[in-house]
Amino acid sequence: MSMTLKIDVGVASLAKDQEEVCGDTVEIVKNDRSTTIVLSDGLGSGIKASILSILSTKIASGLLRRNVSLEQVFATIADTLPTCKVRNLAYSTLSILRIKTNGDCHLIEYDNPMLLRFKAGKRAPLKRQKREIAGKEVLESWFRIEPEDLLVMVSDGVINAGVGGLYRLGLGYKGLVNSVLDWADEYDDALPLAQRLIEVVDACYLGRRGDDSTSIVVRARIPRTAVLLTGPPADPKLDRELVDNYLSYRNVMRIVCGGATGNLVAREMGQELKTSLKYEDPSVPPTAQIKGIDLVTEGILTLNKCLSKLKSSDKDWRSITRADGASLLCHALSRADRVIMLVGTAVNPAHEEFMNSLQLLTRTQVVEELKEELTKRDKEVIIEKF
Amino acid sequence: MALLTVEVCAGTSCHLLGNQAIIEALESLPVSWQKQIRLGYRSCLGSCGRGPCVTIGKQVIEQASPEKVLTVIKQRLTAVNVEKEVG
Repeated sequence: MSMTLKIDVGVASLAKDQEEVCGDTVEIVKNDRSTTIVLSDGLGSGIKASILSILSTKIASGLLRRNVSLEQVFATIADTLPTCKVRNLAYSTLSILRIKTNGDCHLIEYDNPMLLRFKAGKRAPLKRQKREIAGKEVLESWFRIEPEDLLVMVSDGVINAGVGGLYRLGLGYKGLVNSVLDWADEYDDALPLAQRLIEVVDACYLGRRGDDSTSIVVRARIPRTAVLLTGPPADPKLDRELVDNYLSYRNVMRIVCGGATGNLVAREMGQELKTSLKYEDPSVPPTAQIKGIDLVTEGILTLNKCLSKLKSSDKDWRSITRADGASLLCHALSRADRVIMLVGTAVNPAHEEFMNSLQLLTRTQVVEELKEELTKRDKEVIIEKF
Repeated sequence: MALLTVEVCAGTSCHLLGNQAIIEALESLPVSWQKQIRLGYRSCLGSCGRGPCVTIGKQVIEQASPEKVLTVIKQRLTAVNVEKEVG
């Protein structure tokens, strides 16, 4: 069975001490068929290194967007990049990893530390072949990423972290592997793990960062899906059908937004709806509970508040600890890779008056804007109206 | 003695029509009254055009105000207490 995997990529970087910019550059190019990650480390540090690595990754991403093959991309960069006359070294390193949606991977590495692969809590080394492309010796690998696999790509600042300081020879591959294994179970998502690895690097340097450091974490998983039901259908005869449709999604996070909608779902499921005894936030009506549903909130106000929370900050809502309905909804939507919104279009006449005076978006408007906001955050959003 | 159930609707309309004033009034009732009440929320009572709504026992009060709610609660509690004395 062909399955579309969610490829979750997290990137964290640290600039060398006293430098304003990081000389490592990462570009991620996504399209329907693949995710491609380009990591380039410019020779030296500071602005010069930064410009060189940006040059490499921008050439790469431009070509990748035009679906040029990895080796052609590499050859173009290798031909374009100058070589340092003093040190006779290429001005930047390069790793390119293309992951197709079915999990097939193609990796080309030039002068960067080796990509590490982990499976089921253990390191799973890749088979690599030496190859010459455009006069440069590169390492090439073809492999397949499976759900729950973990890939870690780093620049040499990570491998060398702590040289002559905390460690005589630096963190090394062994230290990096141990750090990944120490922290991998702690985080489901790629970004916090990448950040944690960079914190480890920073600690190794004892505050005197000897080089630019970048860590890229790639996690593959079966997409996490949330199904959000909001609003009664325009035709009350469709109540049953809508709830059946809603409950037909399996292994998903189920969310209901709306008082009348909650009552409708509880009634059709033959369950009781229990409203929370607490206003966690005076501006957001309390949540409720229905057995078998993961999150039940009020509708219009909570959806509007959730949208404004998402818009007001890029912060990672997965780590919030507030318990009001809007924060919980932000949390749930941020965790999901796919969000399916089943939107009933019945209009509550009592709401219409408020909507204008309070500048609230209607249900249909707010879900459209949520879709836009979530799509920006790399989520697939599907809206179905009833 | 059975507690008197008082539930404030916390649906969209009732929230916007000022259910907080009622909640505050209920939360600041004298302790002797609070002991006789079970306070809760409802998600929507379906009378969105005539909110805020509060249920006291089986009675639904529409366009409720703190005064209206407290009056009914007082009546109900007094009635219960009188019954107790008579009984």
